[in-house]
Amino acid sequence: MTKKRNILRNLLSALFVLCSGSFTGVAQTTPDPGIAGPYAVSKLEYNFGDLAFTPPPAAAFPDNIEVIGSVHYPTDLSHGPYPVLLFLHGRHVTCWQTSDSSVALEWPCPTGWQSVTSYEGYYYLANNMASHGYIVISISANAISAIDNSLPDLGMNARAVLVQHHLDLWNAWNTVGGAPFDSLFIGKLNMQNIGTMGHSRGGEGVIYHAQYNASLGSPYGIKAVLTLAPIDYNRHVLNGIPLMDVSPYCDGDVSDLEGVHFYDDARYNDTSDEAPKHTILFTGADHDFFNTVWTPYLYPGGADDWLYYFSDTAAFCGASAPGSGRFDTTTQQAALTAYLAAFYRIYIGNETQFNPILQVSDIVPPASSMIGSSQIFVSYHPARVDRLDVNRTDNLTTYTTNTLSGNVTETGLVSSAICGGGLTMAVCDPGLSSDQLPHGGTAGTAGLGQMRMQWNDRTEWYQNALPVAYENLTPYQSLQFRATVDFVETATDSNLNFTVSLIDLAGDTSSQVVTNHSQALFYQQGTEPTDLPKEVFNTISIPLSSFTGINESKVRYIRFKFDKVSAGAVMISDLAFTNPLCGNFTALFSDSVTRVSLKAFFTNKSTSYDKDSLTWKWNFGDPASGVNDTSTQKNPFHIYPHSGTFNPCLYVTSYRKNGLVCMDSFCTSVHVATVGVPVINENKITIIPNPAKDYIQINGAANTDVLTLIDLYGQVVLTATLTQPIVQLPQSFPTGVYYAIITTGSGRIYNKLLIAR
Amino acid sequence: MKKIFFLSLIALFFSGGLYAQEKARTEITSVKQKGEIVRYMLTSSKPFIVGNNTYILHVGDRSFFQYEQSENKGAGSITFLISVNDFNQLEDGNSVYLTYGMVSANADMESLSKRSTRCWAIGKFSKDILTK
Repeated sequence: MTKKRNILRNLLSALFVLCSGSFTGVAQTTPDPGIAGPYAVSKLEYNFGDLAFTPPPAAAFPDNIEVIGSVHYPTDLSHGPYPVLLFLHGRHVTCWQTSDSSVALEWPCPTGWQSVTSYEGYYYLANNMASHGYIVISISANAISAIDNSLPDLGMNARAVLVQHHLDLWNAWNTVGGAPFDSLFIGKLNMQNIGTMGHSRGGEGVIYHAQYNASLGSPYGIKAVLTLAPIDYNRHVLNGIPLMDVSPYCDGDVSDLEGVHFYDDARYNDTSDEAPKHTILFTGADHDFFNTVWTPYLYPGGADDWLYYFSDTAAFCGASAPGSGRFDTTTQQAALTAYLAAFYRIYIGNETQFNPILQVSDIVPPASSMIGSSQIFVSYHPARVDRLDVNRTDNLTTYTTNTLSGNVTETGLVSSAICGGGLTMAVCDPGLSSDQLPHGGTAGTAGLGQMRMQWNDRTEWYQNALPVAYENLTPYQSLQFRATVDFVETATDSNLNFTVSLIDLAGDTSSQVVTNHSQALFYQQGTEPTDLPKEVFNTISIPLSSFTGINESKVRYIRFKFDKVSAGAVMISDLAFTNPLCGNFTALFSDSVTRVSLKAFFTNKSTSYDKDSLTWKWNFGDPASGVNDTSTQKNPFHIYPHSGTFNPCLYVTSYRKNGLVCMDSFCTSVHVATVGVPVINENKITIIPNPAKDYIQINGAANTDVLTLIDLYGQVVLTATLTQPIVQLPQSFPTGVYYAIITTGSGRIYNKLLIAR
Repeated sequence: MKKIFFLSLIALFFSGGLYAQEKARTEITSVKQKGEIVRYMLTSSKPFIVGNNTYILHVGDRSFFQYEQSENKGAGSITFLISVNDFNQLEDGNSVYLTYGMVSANADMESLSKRSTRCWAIGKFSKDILTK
């Protein structure tokens, strides 16, 4: 058996130019997603009344809810259907009195009072996205805000059913039309390509909605969910849908930035989850300025939420503080416009040219965001197929053994531990408040597992070993991890920094200084008792192409060398190699030969990312058959001219949505004979467990069948006649991928086997 | 349908800054049973926030999250809704705190109440205060 992988590149990646470790001179090479698009925008409203919707009993909401919303759309609707976005606001005062601008939390509003139209506060986002061809709906939820604190779920189920109700209305307007839009939107909404955004309590609401929609059989295609300064009161976990959480560092309302849990909790809990996840940290943003109706001086009830309980002169977040880092409203809204647009244009619009912005490979913010690279930080969790987790730091055992079963070692550290708080781990910095530890756990829920390291000498280091099965890094593009400075043990003027080294089998080392690639090792800003500074994790991504002078196919260690500052402390998590050039892509097939003729059947067993487009090309090793020697079918057959051994090959090409083209091939030898042999029923022979550890059990095989195990290098590592179904796996077999070939009297069956120690 | 009427000063509209100046005096006003719910009311010299985070009543190692809030002439009131069953399980002498937002599982509440502008020490719990 032979395998040959040929990787063709057709990448749309950004180039990164460094200038003396500073990013001031770095050019922005990724297109700007926040710039307005080419379409003129129109806006309409709909209002069916303050009590128009009766929630179903399952929502456990005691009152009726208003059905009110706005829609921004491309004025010229001659094309379409258009992708859809739906925005849901959070909790805010609901009514105001024109006579004296007093406000109330009540629904419906008293006679003579006006409703506070919180749903209108995202018009700047809606305008921008509609200019790019989106239909953007924003809905009112004042009835929920008025009483949700008296409910066990804080009204989240009500928010979910309300969103679904509005989607039902839009589905009707999209199919049969009706008042108030008549036929305007018929055929114009792609109800299978919807993104949702929830601000504050609306953030948890759209999480609930995505799950509610799924529970109904997914009548609508929710393809992306953005939580904007959300609460995560109920700690639901959303898997399977691209997610982005936006955290404002100077949030005076949801000041514990608990929305990071939506990202943290969803990283590893579901092994089938292929949805990427992101977080955004805006350093100078507050909670309310994202919504123009909640912004001071524009509408009654607007406020700088930092001033709810914190000081206006608090360092960094106080707007009146010397050297304040606060964004004004224009900047804050521009920043959100750019990054929200990037998110939806990638995951709804499939505009992958913006990937570098959210994948931390281009950390210079788009110009339209009006912020600099020290004012915005991103975390990126790739799809499972796009990463190799080296050390998840998600449990206590990763202190000594990483996720790949490689050894974890350190030398000389003052202190080190896996911590994070919550169910099984200690709190990393127990003297800090929950506001200062957004990733921390609570009494009933787990926090973010992290490796905390403190050093006081430049010779100290921390190291993760790579087992042999994972030494080949050539398929990957980046090494990444999340990090935050432990400000409790780090001096404010330390300019914390360290070196990441890769060490190969021969002992050759290549190193990269972290601050040449990221500004995420910043000493957190601000001073406010029990609130600032905060330890927030952000992704640091280092291109593997920068590690030169080593054998990239024989890398054995990742070492963090704390050689840049004499003392400091840092927490890291999610150490991984990411963005594999071809991901989970393997060419493979099984063959069987019929008893009556020399007819060989080939069963395609190639694997790929399920969103890839694949083509097949077979060569049956029978050139005398002319044009019949090839096929482009997925599962072909071939009639060989005579008995003997032939060498068929399968060539598979994968076309990924991001433009990447990969090829892989698989060749083997097939013996055909005129003596009849039964057709193999592949489904009859199974191998369990898979992944395996100490043994495998082959069910359905004859006691004369032969098992052959081959490693990734094509070496036969085990041969056994299956006189009994259980085959022990020697402990010397490292963790990795193997091919299990079962040779029967009628042919061979190929299976991919993962051995996980 | 419940109605919660809430008036705020005009000054709040203009500045939003009154809250952060000094910590409000917050105390238990009444504890009344109504049906199967104990209404545990606290009042403050300043309004309670109509925000997205949640006020939490901590009694010993128990926490309560459901409440109604209102305001009268610049003073705020917040009424926690505690089931009779839960109320009866609370122990006399437990410290009572009010926070705006979650706290760590290992939080030193007494220390937090001294350092944080979002944590108030209310006093000691006593069932004797309950009126029916």
